[in-house]
Amino acid sequence: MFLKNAAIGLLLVGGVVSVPQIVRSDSASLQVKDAWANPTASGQSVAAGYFVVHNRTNRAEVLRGASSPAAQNLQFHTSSLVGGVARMRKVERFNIPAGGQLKLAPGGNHLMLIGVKQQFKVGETVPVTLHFNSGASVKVKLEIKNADKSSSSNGGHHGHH
Amino acid sequence: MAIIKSVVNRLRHPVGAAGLALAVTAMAYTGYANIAGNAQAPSAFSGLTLTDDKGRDFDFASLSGRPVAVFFGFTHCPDVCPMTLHRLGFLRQKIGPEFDRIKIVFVSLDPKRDTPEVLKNYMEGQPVRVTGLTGTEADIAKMAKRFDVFHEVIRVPGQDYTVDHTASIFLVDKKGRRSGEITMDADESEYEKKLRQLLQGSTNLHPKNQI
Repeated sequence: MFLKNAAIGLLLVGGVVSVPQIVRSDSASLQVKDAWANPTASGQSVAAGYFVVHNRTNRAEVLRGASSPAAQNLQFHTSSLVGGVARMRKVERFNIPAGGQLKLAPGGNHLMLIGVKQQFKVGETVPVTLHFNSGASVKVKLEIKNADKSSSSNGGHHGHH
Repeated sequence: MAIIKSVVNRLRHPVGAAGLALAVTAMAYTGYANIAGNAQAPSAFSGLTLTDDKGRDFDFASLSGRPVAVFFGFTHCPDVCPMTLHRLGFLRQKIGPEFDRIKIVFVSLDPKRDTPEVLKNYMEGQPVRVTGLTGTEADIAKMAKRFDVFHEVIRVPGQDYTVDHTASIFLVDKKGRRSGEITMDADESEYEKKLRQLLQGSTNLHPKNQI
């Protein structure tokens, strides 16, 4: 099952070669893949995290929160571009339809880690637990890395080169 | 549509909105090249005062003779600003060493948090070499106004604040003339085309150069 999902994950990122995250999940039917965050500069107190949640159940699910020992406060935010102006706003929850997916990616929906306790360095991982309305929680590790070419949410950089 | 609105604001001549929209869509400032070819036009950076990421008064005259890409942001911007920097990093790989002739300037819209030291730390980890500028709110506002950049501080519960801002990259040629703009939603081919034009010394000048 994992291998099959890994193959789907690879297809979803547009053929870019990446190693799927090994997910430790408390729920076999909610799967989180491609979890990562940008590195931070020394003294930088906020960071954005990204991942894809696959809801393989037959019920709609709601991602309602996240926690991590690496930051004081975790929130969900969404960035939008209106008339050339980028705006970022807090979002309370994300709905994930039955059989559907939620994609957090640069320039759109993202996890905000506020009050980051230590600098995020490339190659390290940051543990985060995602909490869902059904009571399920999923532990993920954000891989600290620079953005892949395919990772923006606006469709402009989905590389098939 | 605010992009178009802001372009309308820049124009000195009345232009039909539909025609303008087409012109913007086609990335065609070419119609202005001839009337904008006045060598006496002041530099896009004239009269500006900011501090660089080493804490020194930034010498805007040092930009003369080099193609420049300017964008605005803040270091506590975890999503959009890194995206712009990484895209420039991809384009650097694609264009090759010639890319480094472009001077990349990041202007902070958050001087309260972005001290020169914070900016320096932030720039050190980026995939392209960037000069970070900060300054007084008034000086930053003047720089932002020069490039028609919108910026507004927004309070966020549980986090101090964020800054909504125009996320475009503004291109200035080696003679200090505005020569294009790359909006955040541009695709990679548009980034590449416009950066190559900048490197080649584009004639597609911005109407503001008529001033």
